[in-house]
Order: sequence, then structure tokens, then C-alpha cells
Amino acid sequence: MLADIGQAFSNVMSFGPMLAIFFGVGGGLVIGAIPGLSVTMAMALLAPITFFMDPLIGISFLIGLFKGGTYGGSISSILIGTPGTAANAATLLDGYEMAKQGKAGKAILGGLYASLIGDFAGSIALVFGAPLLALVALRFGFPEYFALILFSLTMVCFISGSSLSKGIFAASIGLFLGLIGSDPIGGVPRLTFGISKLQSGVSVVPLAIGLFALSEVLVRAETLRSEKFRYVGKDALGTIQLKFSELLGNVKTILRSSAIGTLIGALPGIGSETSSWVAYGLAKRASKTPKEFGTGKLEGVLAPEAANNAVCGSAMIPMLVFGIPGDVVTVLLMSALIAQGLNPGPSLIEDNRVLFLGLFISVFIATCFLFLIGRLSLKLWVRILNIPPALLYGVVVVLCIVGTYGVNSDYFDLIVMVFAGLLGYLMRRFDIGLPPLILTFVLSTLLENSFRRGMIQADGDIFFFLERPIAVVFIGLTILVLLSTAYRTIKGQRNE
Amino acid sequence: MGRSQKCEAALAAILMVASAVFYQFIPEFVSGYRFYFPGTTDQAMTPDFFPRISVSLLMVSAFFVLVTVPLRKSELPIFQLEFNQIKAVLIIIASVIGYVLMIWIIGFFAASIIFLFIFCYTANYKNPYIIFLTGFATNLVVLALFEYGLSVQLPRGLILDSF
Repeated sequence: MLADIGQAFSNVMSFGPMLAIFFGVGGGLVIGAIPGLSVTMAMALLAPITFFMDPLIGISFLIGLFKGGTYGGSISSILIGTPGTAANAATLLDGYEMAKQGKAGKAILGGLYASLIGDFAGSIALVFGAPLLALVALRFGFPEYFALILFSLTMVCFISGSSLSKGIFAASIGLFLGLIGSDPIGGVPRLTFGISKLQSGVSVVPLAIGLFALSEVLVRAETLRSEKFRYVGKDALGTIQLKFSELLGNVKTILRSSAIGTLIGALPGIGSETSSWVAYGLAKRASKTPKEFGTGKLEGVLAPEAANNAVCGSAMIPMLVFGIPGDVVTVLLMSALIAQGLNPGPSLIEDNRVLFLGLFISVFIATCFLFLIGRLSLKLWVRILNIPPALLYGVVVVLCIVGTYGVNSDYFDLIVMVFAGLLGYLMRRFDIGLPPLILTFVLSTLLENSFRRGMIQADGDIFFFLERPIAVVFIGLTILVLLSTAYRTIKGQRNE
Repeated sequence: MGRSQKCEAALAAILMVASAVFYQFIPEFVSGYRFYFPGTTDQAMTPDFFPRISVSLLMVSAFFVLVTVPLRKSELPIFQLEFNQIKAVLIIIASVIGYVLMIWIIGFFAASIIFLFIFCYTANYKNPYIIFLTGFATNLVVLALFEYGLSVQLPRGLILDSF
């Protein structure tokens, strides 16, 4: 074991992986800081590049991008009151107020330190939690997998969008798209509508790029023409100073929020967006001065920032151990792993021990780079926020094309990407969440396989699924979530 | 019910009926669907079982949307758009489709610069020097990263390929 750790350490400390982590974190920070360019979009656009790299280099780059992007979103939240990513929306409440009071530098620094602590907590959970959970996952058979996927998908429908029915709608579209191609048991082509290119199914990369990058450009296109350019002056940062005592005084909030983020991240279907709001709400409830929240209180920045970065590490646990991604970013991370020939599952870590020890080490190195780059580049953010949005979104479309075409060098993928972009745009405009679609799409094969193989194992007896205790627990939880969501939706709409 | 709710209800109803019809025709879209896994005859074993589940879910979700529409008071974002905004989106969609076609004919690098001009002018950013420089720089980065770094050849287009 010690020899493996030594080998992994020397692998990570070489030029390639270190450069990849550096560019990943730096790129993530820049992309996260620009309003409208989310970490999801960055992952969708840049994941295809890593398919051609060494696994350690490629995956380390994406981990860096994930971490940098999650923190980077707080910068525009604080400086211009527009969250870089949805996960940083809660940061805006107090961060922007602090900026108005000339304390933007303090808020960004506080956010950075809170993110680092949260990030560290999530990474610890990943390193120790994933191998332990893998031991449990080894006992999972087809029925347990089927029940777990069903539960995860229900959670995703529950959490995203305005209503459960729209969540189910998005999930059914994702399931339908995922079923196009060959039947996993008999190999029979289905739903190909006579298009031979569809026999191998729809690729996840063009679909993700279209849904999350191109559709975002289309949404922004609505306002780009009339949008007034908001110039951010050099003095926007104000005082760049944060006393150690100020950080120490809020250590309880940071630790609590980190724990919340870690826990929420490990649950399937709930991402960093929810964790930051939960952490903010709890910090407000626990505070002696809750009325000061929303008026520029440092605690209101620290809580969501610690929570959303804690998600980065722990969200990878269900993806690595069960092959079930918790959110859209981990879907893309999983696609990158699969493209490298690494199929997530209970034995993945054990079978590729040196590689995963290396990745675990790179998770911590990414945290160190986040500190270094975040601390040294404070004044750079003001310049980045002044890039004309029209130019930026034009380049994003060019990158959408390159990222899509680059994977298979196939024009058909470009058509799929444009189609997915239009679908994503319409879904956003009809207030239908996109995460259930992509998650169901990715899990459709596993869902069908585990159900049909389970049925074969049980000689067609569906009650076989209820004879397995773990499966029963997950099916019970699924029913509970469905009922509570239906109740909540109807109650909420009546109150509107 | 307002305009938004009526439209949403109509779309949900159309979707529900369309899914019900499609449900019946799914076996037509599965080649050799009569194949059964040896030793079993259960319906779950047929390749059209899961496609039917996905369409049933579509039907169920459309039904729930239809039922809950009268309870909703908020307007959907699509009904809050103004004519100019819809026009801008349609122009961008057309230019993206045109961009894909242009790549096929004149190749990626030339098409990208033309597309950037169309996009920026539509978005009311009209500095030709900056647009050209950005397009040129993007092309250089893509060339260095994809063509030389990752050995992925980007399309040269029908015109260049014919030489």
C-alpha cells in the first residue's frame, strides 16, 4: 500500500498533472467568475479534450476545473451582483451588499478561505468515504442497483425545476433519448427511425454541450442586444483585508456549512446549489443577529461558499462507487472516466489503485492551487468582468462546435448538439429543469440493464425486488419522496 | 386562466395524446422486437418494454401538468419574451445552423470568423477589429490545442478538400 502511495505521489508531482491541475483551477476560476458561463458549461466544453489525455492528467484537470469554477462564481456575485453559477446565488445576498459598502475585497477573501475549508472537508470525505462505501456496494445486485437508480432519479426530479410533473417530463425525455440505439440485452436496434448513425445511440458529449452551453447562449441572446454594459472600475474591490480574528469568529459557521455541503453532495441528485441555500438558511437561524443577514454580513458569504465547495469532493463518491452521478458536473466527470476506459463501480478504485490514489492526491493539490491562484489573482477579476459579453458568447459557440466535433470527428454529432441546444432552450423557457434529463439519459442503460437482468434472475417474478432488504429501503424512500413532493407542489401552487 | 396557462394546458393535452398514439406504435420502431430472452416469456424481457415506460411517463407527466395548470398563477418565461428578443434568438439559431453548414463547405477556421461577425453584430457589438482579432486568436488556440496537441483534424471544408 505504501509503495502504491509513493508511486501515486510521484506520478502526480510530475510536470503534466501539475500543469493540468493549475490550468484546471485557473480556467475554472476565470469561467466561474464570468456571469453566464457556469462550471457545468465549462465541464461540457472541456471534458472532450481530456478524452485524448492520460487519465491522471485529464481527470485531474477536470477536478481542478470543478473546484475553481465553483469558487469562481462567487466573484461576480460579490462584485456585480450577478452570480457566476447557480451555486453562488446565496453568496450574492450579503456579498453584493458588502461590495456596496466598499468591502468587496474582504468578501472575496472570506469566500476564498471558507471555500478552501469546505473543499478540504469534501476531499477528506471522498478519500475515506469512497473506499468504505465501495465495500458496501460490492454486495449490491441488480435489484439493489435498480432501486438505488430509481431513488436517485426521483431525488433529481424532486429537487430541480418548479414542479414534480415537469421533472418527470424531463426525466422521461432523457430516458427516451438514452434508449435510442441497441437494446442492451438482445442487441436489437430500436428507436433509430431508420437513421444508421443512431444505431450506436446518442453520445453524451453533444447532448450535454447542446443542453448546457448552447442553450445558455440562446437564453443570453435574448438580452444581449439591449443589455447595458456594466463597467467595473479598478476601485471595485475596496479594502482587500481580512483579519484572522474575523475568520476565527465565524469558524463554527464555516465548519457547520462544510459538513452540510459534504453530506448533501454525497446524496444523489442534490448539488451545490441546494447546499449553499441550506447552509445560508442554517447560518441565519443559528446567528445571534439574524436580522443583519442580507445587509452585508460576512457570515452570509462564508456559509454558502464553504457549503458549495464541500460538494465538489463528496459529489464524486456515489459516482465513483455506484456509477450514479449526483449532479450534472459529475455526469460529465463520469463520461470522461468512461471515455478513458474506467467504468465507475465498486471495484474501480481497487482495480486502479495507483491511478485513484493519484487522483485523491490531486484533489488536495487542487485545493492548494485554489488558494494560491485565488489569493494572487484578486485584481485580475475586475478586468475579466469587463470582457464584452457578445464576444464571449460568440467564442462559446465556436467552442461548442470544436468540443462536439473533436470527440468523434463526426458531423452528425454537430446536428445532435444543435438539436439538444434548441431542446434545452425550449425546456428552460417552459420552466423545465435540465438536470433530470441528462441524469436519466446517462443512467438509462444501467437502469434498464439492472431491471431486466434482475427479472431474468428472478424468472420474471417482479416481487423478487421486494425480497431484497436494501432494494426495499430504496423503493420505500422513492415512494416517500414522490408523495411528499406531490403534496408540496400542490400546496405550494394553491398558496401562489 | 391566463394566456400562459391556456397555452401550457393545450401543449400538455397535445403531448398526452401524441404519447398515447406513439405508445401503440413503439413496437414498429424496434427491429425484431419479437425476440425473447431464452427461457423467459415475460413482457419485461422485450426490447420495447422500456421505450414504452418512457412514453408512459411522458403521458403521466403531461396529465399532471394539465391537472395542475389551473392552480398555477405565475407566467412561463417564454410568454414574458418581447418580439425583439424572440427575433434575436431566432437569428442566433439560424446563424448557428448556418455556421454548421459553412463548416461543411468552407471549413472550420473561415466559418468561425464569419460566424463571430454575424453573432457580434446581432448582439449589437460592432468593433470589426476586435471581432476579427478574437476570431483569429480563437482559431490559433483551437489549432494549437486540437490539431497539434490532440491530433484531431478539424474540417477543412468541401472547397479546400477538393484541391
